[in-house]
Amino acid sequence: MVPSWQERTCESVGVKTEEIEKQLRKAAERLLREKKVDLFIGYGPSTVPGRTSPVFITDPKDAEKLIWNEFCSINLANYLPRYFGGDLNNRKSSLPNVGLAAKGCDGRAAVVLINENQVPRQNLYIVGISCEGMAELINGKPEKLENCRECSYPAPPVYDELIGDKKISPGKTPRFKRIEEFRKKPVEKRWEYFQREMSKCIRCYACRQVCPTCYCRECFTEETRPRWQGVSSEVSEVIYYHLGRLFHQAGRCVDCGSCSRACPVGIDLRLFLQGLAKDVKDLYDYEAGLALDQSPPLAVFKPDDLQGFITEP
Amino acid sequence: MKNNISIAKSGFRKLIDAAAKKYRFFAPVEEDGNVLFRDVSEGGEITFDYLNTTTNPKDFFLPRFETLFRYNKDEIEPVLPDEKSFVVFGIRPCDVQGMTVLDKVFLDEDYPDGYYRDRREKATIVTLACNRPDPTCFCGAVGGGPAMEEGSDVMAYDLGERIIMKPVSRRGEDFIRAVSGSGKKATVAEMKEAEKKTAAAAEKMKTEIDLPAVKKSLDSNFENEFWTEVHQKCVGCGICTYLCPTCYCFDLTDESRGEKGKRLRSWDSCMFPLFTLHASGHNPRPSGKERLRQRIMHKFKYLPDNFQITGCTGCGRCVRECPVNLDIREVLTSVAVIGSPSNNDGTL
Amino acid sequence: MKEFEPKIIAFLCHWCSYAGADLAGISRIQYPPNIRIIRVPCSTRVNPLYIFKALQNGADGVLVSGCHPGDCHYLSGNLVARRKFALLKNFLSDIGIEPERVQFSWVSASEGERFARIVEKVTADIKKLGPARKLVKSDF
Repeated sequence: MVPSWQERTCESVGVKTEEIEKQLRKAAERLLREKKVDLFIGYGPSTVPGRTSPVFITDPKDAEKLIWNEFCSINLANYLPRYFGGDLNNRKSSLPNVGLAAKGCDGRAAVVLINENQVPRQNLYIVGISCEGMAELINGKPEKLENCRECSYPAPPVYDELIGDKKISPGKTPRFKRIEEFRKKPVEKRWEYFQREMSKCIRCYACRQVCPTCYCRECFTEETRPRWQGVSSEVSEVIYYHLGRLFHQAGRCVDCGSCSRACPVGIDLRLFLQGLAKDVKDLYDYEAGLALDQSPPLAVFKPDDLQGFITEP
Repeated sequence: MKNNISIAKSGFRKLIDAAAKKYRFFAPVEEDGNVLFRDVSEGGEITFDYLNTTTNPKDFFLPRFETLFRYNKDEIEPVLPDEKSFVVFGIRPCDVQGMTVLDKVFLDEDYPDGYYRDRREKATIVTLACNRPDPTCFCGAVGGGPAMEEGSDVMAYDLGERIIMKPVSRRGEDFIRAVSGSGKKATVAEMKEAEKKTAAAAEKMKTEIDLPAVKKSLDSNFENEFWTEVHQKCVGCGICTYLCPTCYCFDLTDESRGEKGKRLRSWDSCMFPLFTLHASGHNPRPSGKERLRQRIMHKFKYLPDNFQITGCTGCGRCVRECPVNLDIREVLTSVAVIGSPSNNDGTL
Repeated sequence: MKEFEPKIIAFLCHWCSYAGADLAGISRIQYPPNIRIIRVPCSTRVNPLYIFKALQNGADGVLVSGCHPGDCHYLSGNLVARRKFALLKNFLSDIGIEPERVQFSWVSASEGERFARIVEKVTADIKKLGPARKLVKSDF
């Protein structure tokens, strides 16, 4: 039985997959021709089965290169800061206008970037796509990605135009089920799992580089003044890097899953990020990337924030 | 008279036990979905059913990080590698080819790297030839092959139920002698079957790369616009360099506490922006474009120019693991096209 | 066999908690000597990376103490820190560090006695847990 989301007609999206591809190409071609954008970022074919590859289109005729299928899982918002970062002292040329083919997670990441002043809203044109969930090939068969199964916001919350239905049903699996189960385990078992995962790490930094909200020009792990940590892959150092990076994602991570997918040794990073996301949602009623001008949860406060964790004598 | 050995996979533990008397025995083990080299001298389930290991065996000779020496005030105490000889079983020919590139760099006649050399001299490499390449493998296109012997000490072949091994070097002969009791002598029929399997594997690899055309194009296209286009999707993660059998760039750092400390050598990647950052703040390779260009140039122009070897062995790990599918084969094909005589204006 | 005496790093905010600790000293109030105090201008100055580093370098526990909410010398520092520490505590617990190892408290400048009691409690908690091994950088 073919799972419903794999069928080319997907009721929850409201548009067939081939139709999405057609509309996306038309939109990109129009935007480039009318010079509303200078560059359009989307998905193109890959040389390895079960994947897609980002394409950067400047010529309206090249809009034909865009594709849309169940393997469009890369978070394209990752590329945005580099077009708007640049040398702040050297802003002679005006900023480019960039168009982005954005699923829910890409759109939310773009919103986080806009809220953090990395991308000016007026220079970004979001072609939103209601996403029915992406897959990866496991033993030759497409399997829906874990974060897509748990996705709460498959359509980008902020967009300039939308392909597909705005009201798209979220993923079937409850989002925080796994971390809730994990938290029931005793402390030692949690440590054992965490340590085992961390011992695989080779510190290639793929997780950091594919993450759209990791855009620091100098990452804390490579700073030398002050020197936070060493370069070795000794477990203690690896853990330090991950603790720092994961905690920096608190309230900012949009759960696109790119970090876990990019990891060449398959470390389960999402579980711990989910823990942070759950706490931010439960304690401060905040989820990253849902609206422009959201205040970051760790920069504001409420007088009645929970403080049950404070030690009393 | 060279001894060959044939041993059933089910009885492989006997061979490991025999070898473990003299060597530490490393072999591929499946762990959490990854295939990694582990010390199985004392026990452990080895796997023969893998395309290639997840991470690279160059780690044995150029570890991900190693302590070079420790210091305490003015005293320096070098850290010497482990005493015992070791066997690495199950390396693929592409990774062994990678080691020959590293040998050229680290075993230079005038300035050999002592740490690398010590490890290399203690190692016996038992290469497992490939029967089933993946579409992402392309060792044949860069001068290799699924049964290349260069660099190995022992060649092993997977015949389904049995493994046969034949020595290629002096060290290989020592190894075979040490384990000869654990198996039978390999028959001529078995050797022929091995040849058939690996020849079939070589046929399966469809990728073709015109290396001379690539080199010629790289010689004269440093400033080509092509580099600006091709680097765009690279995120600068460094997976390609860390998993590559021929990449060897490293960084030296000191870690100290008070007057004591140690000097570490760790892998570094030319794809990281910090790699070429000067103390003045100037970076000669400021963007991904310069860094990707550097990587391709290094592998396919500078290494051939300086060492007469190609810096790529076609293992395909960079193709499989790159998160954005920046396929080095596509890049090389495009490079060859822009350099071709019919394309004299140098545009793509 | 000597009894295990934990080493606890205490980040105390200059205006309240550090003054409270000072008051405890001047009033000759006894409390366990296991804490090593680092004075910071405000509790929110404490970067989570410091806490990780303390544990990495061999501290058995960490205490961060600031002004009571509403009394921060910089108006809202401890209020922002409250959110940060709440997340940090759960995060450390998620990865398997015993929750009692890293603790947070509010102590004002006039609460010398309270400070002493808190240090007593934290020391007792961490003594029960034993030396911290998990994050420690083994090879140095």
